[in-house]
Amino acid sequence: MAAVTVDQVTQRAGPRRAIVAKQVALYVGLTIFGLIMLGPFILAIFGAFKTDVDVTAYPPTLFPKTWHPENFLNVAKLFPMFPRWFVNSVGLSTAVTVLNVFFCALAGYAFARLRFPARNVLFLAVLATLMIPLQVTLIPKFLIMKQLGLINTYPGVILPNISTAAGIFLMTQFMKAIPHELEEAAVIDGASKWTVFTRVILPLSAPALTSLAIFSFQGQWNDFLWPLVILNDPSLFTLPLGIAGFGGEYIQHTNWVLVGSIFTTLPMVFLVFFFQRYIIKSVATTGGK
Amino acid sequence: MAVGTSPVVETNTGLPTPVQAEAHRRRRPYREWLASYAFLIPAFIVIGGFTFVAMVAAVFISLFKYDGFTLEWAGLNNYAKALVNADFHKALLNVVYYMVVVVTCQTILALSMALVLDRIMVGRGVFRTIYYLPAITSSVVMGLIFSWLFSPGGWVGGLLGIVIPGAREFGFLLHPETALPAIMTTTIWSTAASFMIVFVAGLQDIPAHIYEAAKIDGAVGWRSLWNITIPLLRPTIFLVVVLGTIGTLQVFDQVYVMTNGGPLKSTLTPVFLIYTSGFRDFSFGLGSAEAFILFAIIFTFTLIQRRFIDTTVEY
Repeated sequence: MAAVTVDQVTQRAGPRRAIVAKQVALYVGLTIFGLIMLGPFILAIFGAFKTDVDVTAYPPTLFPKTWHPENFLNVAKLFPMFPRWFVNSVGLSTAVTVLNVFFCALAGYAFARLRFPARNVLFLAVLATLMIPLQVTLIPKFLIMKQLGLINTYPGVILPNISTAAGIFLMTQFMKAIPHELEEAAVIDGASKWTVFTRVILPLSAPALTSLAIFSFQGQWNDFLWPLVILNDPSLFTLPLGIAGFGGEYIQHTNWVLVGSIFTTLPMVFLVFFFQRYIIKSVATTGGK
Repeated sequence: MAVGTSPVVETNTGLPTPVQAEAHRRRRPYREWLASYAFLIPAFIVIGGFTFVAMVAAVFISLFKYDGFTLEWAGLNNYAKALVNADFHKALLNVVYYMVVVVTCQTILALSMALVLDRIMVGRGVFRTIYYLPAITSSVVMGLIFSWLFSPGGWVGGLLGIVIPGAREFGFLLHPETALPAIMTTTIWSTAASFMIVFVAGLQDIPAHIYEAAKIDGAVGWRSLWNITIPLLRPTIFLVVVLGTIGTLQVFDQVYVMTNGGPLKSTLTPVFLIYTSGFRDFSFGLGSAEAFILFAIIFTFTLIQRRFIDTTVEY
């Protein structure tokens, strides 16, 4: 190291300073983006602690004049249905997640590793449905549900969402990549397809199952149009449906609207914090759909 | 198929060998077929019933005047009615304007955020999570929060009021010229976040040796970005633009929550119109016809983009 000349040192210091300057500029940019992306949340959180006068007062202030944490409890008092909506959202999202992941895994296993007539045609048919936009099937789906007597019921909300083309595609792609040797040992022991599926394939597909579970839960939690169409009994509402209602009728109580928004968003925030690496990975394979 | 048809080699080892197991399987393929179809049944009932049957039913319904009780043959009248309807024209114009602005802004913003994230040395995970939060927020929540921010005397007016004096008491959602741009802003905030993740994933796929090779050739900084990164990201950009187009042409939730199509129909969109035709006026036939016209438009835009964005990349 003693052999390092002055010339070499200055040569190195130059690029290093440039790198530092570049990184500083990048972090300034990062912070600006960060403020834009987090800003509405921060304003909403502080707004939720304000009185209904303070929250719409001009000029708007970041911090409440007086803090009202009781807003968070009062929402349930003023909207007795609010806890019910929360429970509905949790229940429906959980049901959709479990069923969708299970059915997509079953179908994915068949498409990826079993041989049967018309396999490719059926797989292409599933993929083709990805192109059909939601609103084309909205009216007939509603009429089918009406025929089945499922309007205003929980099954009516979840039924169309418990097998998705995107989910089947994700599972098929993942299961295709599992080495066949791992399955052969079980096959030689005389295991049935069902045993192979539950004992070998499912455990090995954990990453894909997790990704699909996250997206299913998030999709159902935030879904609005379909529940709006199929539900009109407030006791069956999900959170987005419920709070969309208090935007209209109770627009003067923006602080409660914000409290409702926070309760609706918080579970999703936890989901992202705990599972973010799965989210990135699965977006890479499915393109975010 | 030569292996499958070759005679089975008989051995006396009691336990089936792989060859035997394979032959056994081949001799009774219908068992595998049955298992396969059994595994597919739930998915096929759901996707078959609520997509295929529904799609056929939608074609059928669109040819009738149907209010849920009386069914009356209408031929192509519903399509004609939709196509000459001034509200439908307005909705289409609005949504195309919305699509152009939102897709352009969200793609640029998403790409910028991903590029910045790709180049920092510490805190990548934290910033990525922060940037991703708007993407997982319910559209209803977004709509409600931004309605408040855009209200007269709200934060947006307050901040703009520093520069433009009249903006303070301005209700952005109450004026036809600003209502749709306000909804655009709301959407961009959220979708830029979700597409950022797609770009982050796309950037990770670019092999490091390409950058190294480019560096040796003197391509650094902006030149590296413009000549290497962007061209190699072309498939991702295409994906983001196409998904963005499909998504924006179907905008509904924000409109329902923020403006209900107003003021003066300035935020009316096709899906909002389909919803009102179907579930407020109970004109299921007209609603279905409108849905197919929108489907045709989405399909056309996707094909056009396919022609204009070359997605082939050679490393």
